[in-house]
Amino acid sequence: MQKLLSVVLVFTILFICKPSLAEIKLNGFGSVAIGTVVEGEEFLADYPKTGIYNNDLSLDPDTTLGLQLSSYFTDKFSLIAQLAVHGASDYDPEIDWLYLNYYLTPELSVQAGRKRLPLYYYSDYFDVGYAYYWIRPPPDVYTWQISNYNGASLLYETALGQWDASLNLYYGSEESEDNDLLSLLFGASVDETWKNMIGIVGTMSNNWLELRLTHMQGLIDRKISGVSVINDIEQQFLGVSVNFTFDSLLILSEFNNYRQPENDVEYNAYLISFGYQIGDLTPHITRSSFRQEITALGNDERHYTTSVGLRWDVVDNIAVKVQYDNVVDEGVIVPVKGDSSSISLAVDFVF
Amino acid sequence: MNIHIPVQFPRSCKYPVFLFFIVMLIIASIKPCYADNKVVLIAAKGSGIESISNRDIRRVFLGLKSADSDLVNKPVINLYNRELYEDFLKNIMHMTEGAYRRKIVKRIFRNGTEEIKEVKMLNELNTHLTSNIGDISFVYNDAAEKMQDIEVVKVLW
Repeated sequence: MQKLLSVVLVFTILFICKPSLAEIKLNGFGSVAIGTVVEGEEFLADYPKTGIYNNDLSLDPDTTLGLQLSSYFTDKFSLIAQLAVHGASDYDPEIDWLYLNYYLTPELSVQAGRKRLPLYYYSDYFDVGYAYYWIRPPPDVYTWQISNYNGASLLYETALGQWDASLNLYYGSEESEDNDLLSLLFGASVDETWKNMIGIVGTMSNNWLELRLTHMQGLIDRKISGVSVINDIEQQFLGVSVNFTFDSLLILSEFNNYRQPENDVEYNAYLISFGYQIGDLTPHITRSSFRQEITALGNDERHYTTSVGLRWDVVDNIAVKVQYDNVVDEGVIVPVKGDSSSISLAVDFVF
Repeated sequence: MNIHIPVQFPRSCKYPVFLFFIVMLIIASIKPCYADNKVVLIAAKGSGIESISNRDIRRVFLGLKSADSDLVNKPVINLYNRELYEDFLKNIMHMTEGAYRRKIVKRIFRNGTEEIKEVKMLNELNTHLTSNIGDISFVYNDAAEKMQDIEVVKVLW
């Protein structure tokens, strides 16, 4: 219903603003990836869309194609829409972004509509493989079952001395029927609603250091096979990212903590990654981990991954990547997909 | 307090002063060559852009709106000289070409920021700037002098 309301709102304003007068820009992105599990049985490469590699060569788990339409009614007022198809979702078109943006001042803008939920460092461009050196952001950290929200946000971007700084405040909710990830984990149809989400994301960056701090809290409703199992349970998310660029050396890190205080649910996830640029080549190595605290219910989802890979910037807008991932799944009561080693190859592009 | 200036001072300084003026003349004569290597920020004549900090230029070339002046419109990347482009990224943007390109891609797909226009020919840049008042770009000073209806907003380095 909220998605429908967002669409109605946007199209009403579009109608009023006479879109024929608007300046329209089109940008696209894509990742065509192929991979296989060489040891073990399955590798869950994309948690939110449940992209899974097995022992056969597969194109689907990481392949994504997307189009972004930016329509500028005036230099202050625009509409942003992003449509994507994912192999993991049977190439059904999905609207990831659909929002109106208005600049109140050169540094302050307000958005309303459907956006990516900015929990993680790479949330906003999770599907734009060209923007990072992995084939996909480390799955242990990006284990979100809800990746969008419908609502409003306020973005302030400024300069503080030698630092670029931004502050993003948002409020919204999202309903997901037959949620891909939860339905896979529970082995039954799960409807998930995240509501009254209120969040803040702050970033500071200079020539060599980038800091990001994020916090979100809200309420969860969950139904398994139509039966309500969680109702108005509070959830809290806290994340910190610290990235360094020392000439050719890149050090990326992200640490997240998630809690449902009333349900005694808590997990911690992190990634730390090193990359080194040698001309057009960027070899990299990453360690990521997800660790859930054992509760009275016996939840013990625990897994970690070591990844090594190489990115080759072939031309300005095309990158070729190869990556090896070794997953150790320590979950006994809640195993995800077991131990595995896999190899994948991808071509990422933007236009 | 009395300050005594030796009478012979002007006479004794005559030769060094003469030398000083000769050196200054030489410097003045080679100044145009130095100026040719300057890199300047340009806009169309009549844009009204009077001052913009390097910090703000960096903002604009990252796809953000100018905080210094409402008159600054959009940036244009000048690729007619690869070395100049790389120096601009190093001196103003403080990043490598790959890092800059990825940063722009992130902004495009995160904020819906418009793609930054790139031109490879000076006459194309000239035409674009004169038909898009308020757009800014960077060129060598000698190139700016040859362009029609273009003014230098600022010497970058």
